[in-house]
Amino acid sequence: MIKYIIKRLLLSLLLLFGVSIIIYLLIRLMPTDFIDVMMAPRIAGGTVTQAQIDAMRRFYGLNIEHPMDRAHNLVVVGGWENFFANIRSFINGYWSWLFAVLGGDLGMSFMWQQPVSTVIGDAMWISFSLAVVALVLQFVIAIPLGIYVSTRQYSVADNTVTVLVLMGMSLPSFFFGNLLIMLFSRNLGWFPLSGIESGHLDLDNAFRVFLDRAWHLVLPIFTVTLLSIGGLTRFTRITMLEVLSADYIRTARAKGCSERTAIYKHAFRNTLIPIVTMIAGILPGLFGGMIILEEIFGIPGIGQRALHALRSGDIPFIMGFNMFLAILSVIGTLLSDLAYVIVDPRVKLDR
Amino acid sequence: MDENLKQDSQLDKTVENNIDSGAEVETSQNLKQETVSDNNETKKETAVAQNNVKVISPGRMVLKRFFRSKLSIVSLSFLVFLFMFSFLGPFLTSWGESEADESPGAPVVVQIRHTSRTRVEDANSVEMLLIQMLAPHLSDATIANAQRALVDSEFLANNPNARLNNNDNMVMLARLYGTNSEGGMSATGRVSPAGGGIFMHANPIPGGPSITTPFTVVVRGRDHHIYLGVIDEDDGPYGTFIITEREQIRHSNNPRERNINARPNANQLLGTDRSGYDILTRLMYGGRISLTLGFVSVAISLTLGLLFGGLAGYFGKWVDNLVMRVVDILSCLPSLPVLLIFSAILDGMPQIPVHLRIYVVMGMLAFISWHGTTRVVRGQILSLREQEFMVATEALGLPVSRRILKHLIPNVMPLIIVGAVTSLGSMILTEATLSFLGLGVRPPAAAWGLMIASVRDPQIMIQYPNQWIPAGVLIVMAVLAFGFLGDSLRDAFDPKAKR
Repeated sequence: MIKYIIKRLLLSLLLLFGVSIIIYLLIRLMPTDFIDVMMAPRIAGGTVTQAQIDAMRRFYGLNIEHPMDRAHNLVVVGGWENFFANIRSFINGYWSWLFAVLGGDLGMSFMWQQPVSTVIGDAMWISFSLAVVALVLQFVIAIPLGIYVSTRQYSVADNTVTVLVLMGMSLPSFFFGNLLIMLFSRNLGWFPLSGIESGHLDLDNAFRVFLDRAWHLVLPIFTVTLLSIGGLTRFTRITMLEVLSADYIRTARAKGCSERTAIYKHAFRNTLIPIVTMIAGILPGLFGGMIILEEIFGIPGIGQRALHALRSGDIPFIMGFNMFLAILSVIGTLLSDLAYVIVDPRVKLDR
Repeated sequence: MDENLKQDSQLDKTVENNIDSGAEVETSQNLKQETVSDNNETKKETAVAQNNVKVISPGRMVLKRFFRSKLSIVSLSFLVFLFMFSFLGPFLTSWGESEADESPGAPVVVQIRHTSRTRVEDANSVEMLLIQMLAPHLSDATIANAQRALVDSEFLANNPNARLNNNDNMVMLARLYGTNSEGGMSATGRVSPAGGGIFMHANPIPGGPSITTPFTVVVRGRDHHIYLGVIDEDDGPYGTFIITEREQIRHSNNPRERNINARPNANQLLGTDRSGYDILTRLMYGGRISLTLGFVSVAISLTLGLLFGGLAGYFGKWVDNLVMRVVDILSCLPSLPVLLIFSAILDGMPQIPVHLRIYVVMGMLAFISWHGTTRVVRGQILSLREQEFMVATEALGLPVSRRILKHLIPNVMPLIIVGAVTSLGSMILTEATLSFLGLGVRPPAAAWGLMIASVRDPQIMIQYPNQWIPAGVLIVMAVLAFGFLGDSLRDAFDPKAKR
């Protein structure tokens, strides 16, 4: 077991190495004069002068010597004669970034003028609270629902749930979120429009602050839960159907087990096994935030920060955030494999 | 028929005959009805006649099972409708994708449910109820029209003190005042020239320290701030205050005199958006983009997946290892951030012309999704490789290419087709997300996500739901239809499915 874990960890490190190279390559291909590109229409329109842009770059430290700043646009420094110079600069840049990261320094964010790790750490917990509540609700609703309809296949309930579930999986998140805002915030006024706290609140009363924040988060949580229930219900239903037609359930019934025990004790446990493998996909979503929903509902989580950074060319943050998500993916996969082994005694580790 | 295929279908039929499903066994009654259409099956018919089974090829069996379910017929017909709507529809509408409706627009009722109070200082002093229209973007022609209409109407004749005045940004279309015999004020005027004007109806209460003047103003199609003020002719403006409340006014920002934000009418069945484009036509063009992007990306991703998954599954060992490591790395990349980075890179490459951008976006979408297909194909091939019929083909000495092309691939196809149809749905969702964020096709081209993005303006969200809700509904229905289609196909392909 320990040997397996160590082997997987080493493999994961190799994986992360590969992922970091790809992401670094993509980021190096981004135009460094991103600010200029973004501002070009405004310069042309006369609303911003080049001098102001230069001042902004100085303010954001874009002309400070930083490993990430030695980036040239690989395409623009053109021509095949510059090819080797480009490669050398790429390798140099990558090594310096790698050593910095291994020393714990993810770089300094341009936009927020703080270490990237601080920026991520601060904003992460808001998204986490949103995601965790949605996750719990999702599981609490979807798994019993899936089990319920699997025992009543082809009935009215089954067909209705199938259609509703498929509809939930087809809804684009931004459309549904905006629809809810229109209905409940603007027309009915039941919930606030955006943000996570009201301005006038007395910050000392922690319970009130908590209630207020919960009130703000009702619509986002509702959206996320509704959109994710579909997949989980479907998965549970299919797994449960497979399990119910297995031989051991038939044996249990033949031995005189009540239907209730057969379903909830024997079948349920075996259904949980594939669900455990879904941990791999859940972990990045838990900490990584939801970019679009946070933008629509105005939640200052990490997804919103990532969107701002991506739009303004905050390269250190983009690099740090993407690596963060990749690390979460890898850890998630590793955990789900381990969980699979623990939960299912039939699975052996050696191939 | 090819010998190998015959052997295969024999094998399949024997397998199917042995399965205790009862779905494939037809009674001799049906035999009579179908004999006519299946004359090339007669040879096999006599061969298995003793089993009293009717024999049709597996492909037709699948189609038969497929059309049995109502759901699949409904979803298929909806998809056919969607295709015709997107690709043939634009020929039927009279609007182009980015063709703005240049007519001045239907009259916009500006109702001011607000009473203003003006003080009447002195019954004898000249007081004027002044209505100014602040319309900085009105063209000269429109102003001239309005003034001419004012002149043509009887208004000026009836109000000898009313005057027309031009003043920088303000066009005073009418200035009216008057005193009635009790010393109060009365002002009534009705002006409705063709080019745009004011219908005024002011009814002040005579005398007293305050006047309540409710009124209704009807203005045609422009953005206005309406000032109500009382001006003392000798001393200049007494006071002006804006009496309009934005929420109560339905107006349009119309610097170039287009018919923008129109409600659904006979000309434009779903109205127009804030640039004057017809919504229904843009829905059709958006459908073209979504469907094309979906199909091409899925096709590319499918090809790559078949190629690499096939190589990995069939040849095994180091090829398998290499391909799976690459797939693992790609599957760890976060999809939306990477797509955003790609778009930023695209923005920085000025040498890519606008109309090529969409093809690059297709490539981006395919890049994000091909690792999933590869995994599925590899898994399926790994399990198929050890089955008896593959061993049989090897024993028969068939060349590798024939083994792969004629035996392995047709058995992988069902899973691939089902996966492709389902991922079409998610590809449409991804494309909509990209264009919502402004990273897909650029305006003035139409895309469903782009149309939903107009909801950022709260005015449009509340008052013009006809601009963004249809696009969302179409997205949901398209993805739903593809999902149902995929489900039905999967049930149709599976010979062990319960009827």
